[in-house]
Amino acid sequence: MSMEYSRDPFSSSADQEDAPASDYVRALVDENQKLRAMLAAQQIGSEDHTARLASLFVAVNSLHCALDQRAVLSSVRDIVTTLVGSEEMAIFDVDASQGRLRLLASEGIDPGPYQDVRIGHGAIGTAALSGEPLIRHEGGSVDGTGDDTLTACIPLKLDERVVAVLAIFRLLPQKGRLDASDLDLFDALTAHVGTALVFTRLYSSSGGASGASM
Amino acid sequence: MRKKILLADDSNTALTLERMLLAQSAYDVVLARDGREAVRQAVDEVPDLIILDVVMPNMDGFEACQEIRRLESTRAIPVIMVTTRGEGHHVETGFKVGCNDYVTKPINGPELLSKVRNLLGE
Repeated sequence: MSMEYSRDPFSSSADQEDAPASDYVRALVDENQKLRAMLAAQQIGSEDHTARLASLFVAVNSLHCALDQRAVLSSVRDIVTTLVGSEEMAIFDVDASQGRLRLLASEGIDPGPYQDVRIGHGAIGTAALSGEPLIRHEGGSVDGTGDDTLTACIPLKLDERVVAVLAIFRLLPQKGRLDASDLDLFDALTAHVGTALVFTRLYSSSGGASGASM
Repeated sequence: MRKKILLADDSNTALTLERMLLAQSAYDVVLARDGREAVRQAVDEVPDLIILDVVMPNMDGFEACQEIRRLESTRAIPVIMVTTRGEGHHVETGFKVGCNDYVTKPINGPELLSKVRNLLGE
């Protein structure tokens, strides 16, 4: 506190000294209120930060706990619904030898138009080719075509190689728009979903649980 | 004394995230993975607050909330419903069956904690 008060404000015995004491107490009360507001704001900031870190941890943890492809896809669906806020999504496997993307799973959309996607074509194919996420910003579309049903196309990688693509379509109405924490989450998905998918294939081809030595 | 919160959700992601957020705020957490288990845990544990997802197997969150309100030992426990759909009729159904408040997915940590504290009178 910057205000200086050289004597004990509560030791005053004369009536004429009450005025400066009450000014001092009022200033203290004001300052306490400001400190409380500052601490409350810091607490909200800290909770927000914790929630963001917790989201990343939960997402990565659930992906790497999955031992089969179905469980990985189920985890991705759960993550997108619970942490991002969309019930419309599709996951594609990259078949580089055929130059195509194969639809692995979808939720909340008509899968028909997405059965055969060529690498390098459209937003989903472009994300597969470039390895860069395509994110729709407010009022625009991911690929500039005006298609506002796609919110994000996220390449899913093993090291630097794109092995799959996650397409997220419309967000839940209450979500409105993507924020910085969603972009952090997409980075985590890029790094971990592809690895989890490849791991489940290897695990399955090695005989799965029956072939494990531990 | 630490307050106890019952979390009921069939989503591992939601359960883990909510548990981490609440444990970090010094609450004890009990888990249930469907509505029927939530009612049983509510009776057995008598938590200070219940967070119920709407869409769950065996018994959904609305039915579980109704049952919790029907039982003498649990009827006064505050309930927060978690819904993916924020539309009016979903929210209205939640309040009709006796929930005290609701949050929508995606889960917003600070919002959830604020509602928890509010209902616990903190």
